[in-house]
Amino acid sequence: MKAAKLWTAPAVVLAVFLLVMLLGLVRPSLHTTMFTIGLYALIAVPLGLIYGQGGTISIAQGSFAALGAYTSAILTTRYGVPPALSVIPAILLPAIVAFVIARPILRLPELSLALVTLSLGTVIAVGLQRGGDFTGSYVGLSGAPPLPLVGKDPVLVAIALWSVLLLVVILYSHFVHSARGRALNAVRVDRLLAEAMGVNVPLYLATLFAIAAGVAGLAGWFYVHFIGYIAPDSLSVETSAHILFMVVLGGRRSVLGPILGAAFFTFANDFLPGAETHGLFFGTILVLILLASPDGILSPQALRAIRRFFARTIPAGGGAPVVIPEAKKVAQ
Amino acid sequence: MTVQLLEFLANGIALGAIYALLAVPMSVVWVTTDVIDVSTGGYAVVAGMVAAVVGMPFGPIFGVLAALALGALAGLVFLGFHRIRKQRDAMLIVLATFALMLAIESGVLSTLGTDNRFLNPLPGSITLSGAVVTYQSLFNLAVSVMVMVGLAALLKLSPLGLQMRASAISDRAAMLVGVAVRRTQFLTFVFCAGIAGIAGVLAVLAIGMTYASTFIFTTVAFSGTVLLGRAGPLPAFWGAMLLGIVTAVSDAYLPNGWAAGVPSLLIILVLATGRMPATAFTGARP
Repeated sequence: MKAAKLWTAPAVVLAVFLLVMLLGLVRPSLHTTMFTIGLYALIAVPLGLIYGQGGTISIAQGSFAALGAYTSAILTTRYGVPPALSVIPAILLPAIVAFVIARPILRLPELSLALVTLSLGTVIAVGLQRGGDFTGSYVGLSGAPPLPLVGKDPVLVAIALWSVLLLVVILYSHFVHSARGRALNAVRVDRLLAEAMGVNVPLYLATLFAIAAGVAGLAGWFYVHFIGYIAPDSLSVETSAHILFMVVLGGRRSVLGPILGAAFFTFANDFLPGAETHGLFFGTILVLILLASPDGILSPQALRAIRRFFARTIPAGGGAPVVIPEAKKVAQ
Repeated sequence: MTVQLLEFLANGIALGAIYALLAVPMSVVWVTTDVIDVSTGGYAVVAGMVAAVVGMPFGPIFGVLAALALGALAGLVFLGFHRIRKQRDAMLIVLATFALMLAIESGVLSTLGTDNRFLNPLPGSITLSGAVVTYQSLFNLAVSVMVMVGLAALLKLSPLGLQMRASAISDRAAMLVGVAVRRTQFLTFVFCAGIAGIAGVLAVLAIGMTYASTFIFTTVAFSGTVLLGRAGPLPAFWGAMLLGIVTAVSDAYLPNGWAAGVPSLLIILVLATGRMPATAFTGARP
């Protein structure tokens, strides 16, 4: 039972990835689509962990990804550092920034935290836009070398990115079912109680916040070395807002929720006509989903409702479901 | 030097007057409903854009009417959450207003494009202690003060104001004494969207706007709301004024464009240094 809990999400991710990559043999554009989904998912999944499990919202994930991308772009294009080495500072710099800022802000309630992280993203964006020659200003930086080993081949890059995502999903699944994961849930439900039970809440949340930022930085590294170019608008405050949208829509409490949200967002962007009307669609969908299922599409309530629906439609043994009165009483 | 500083101050006060009309409605909605209406910037942009497209003399009226309609939409979303999701979760509604902001921004972008829209400001200026002050700046300030006086009168003298204050202190107690709390909160959304709409009309006259101003105006509104560390329309008014002055002065003295980050930096400083009470966004009301 425990093994099923731990490995269901990674197995689903792997199965869907393999299926879509096979379909990509018929329609090659799917490989690029898989890269985009994987990139968004890699930024969104850690947010799902800290927000869905820990109650710590952040609207700076896109900005942390930009920080990672810029760090790597500057090191590789200006100082000749190979991408295989620049990945380390691309992860560390956003993580350190997040850790430093986390201590004073993570004590804030949810809404203030949302706004302060959004503001942090804005300050990072302004810094990147006005950074002159160092950051390439509004024009950005081009000429970032390709990824090590996989180069710019969309299939290989997608495989590399999804392998990292799979690893993140495995770690996430194991973490939430461990004692530390339960401690994180305790922090979300009652911070004071968690502290009373010995959890060092500020340090714990700051560490997770920093890890989430570091993973976003890694996604930024993938982005800049696959596309070869980064500008302030590439991974902007708007991206952070979209990442939050993916997490909330897909299901913030579920491991797979942010990935589902990323897939929905990417496919909607690809198939909906007129890019300028997308916000209308996403805004309306988000309001409706929040009204119907506040924890997103893959919420425990929604999954229970689906299970109930199928249990009613296809009862076990082919007959009408049998309810034992005593069991019903106990359940009540 | 002194004259130059006086001119920056005058520009800052004129800008702060617009900011105040963004921060005050956000603050009133917050204290009355427990929700930060993230789409406040959207009401202002829609009002400004409609005013610019229709033109003078009816543009501003249509602009404010459009903002009122959007406020009614936000109010309906708020009521929908209370009706369908029985338990109170302010953050859900904030996320919904965030979704509304996305939709408004997209709506403006798809109908009016990316162009910067503006209306011609009032011509002419006067000189005060050597500093040149435009009539538009004085007009902004006058409108802002008039709205504040009108709001004070509404809150202190009208039955709706009394109900809004009762809902702000305790919606449950207000319900028990017969106040139609949900209707009052719905009207608060509509009324405050109207004030944000006036801000949008002043902004399109004074500084112009694009669809992307939605987010900037929301950030400004929130900065003004929290800057002085207390909730309520009056602290929001003064906070926004201060923000306008700081922005105008930093625009003059900081390197090109860095002033754009000042409102966000202020939010971080105020919230991270603990100026805002920890319970401020968790249901505690002034």
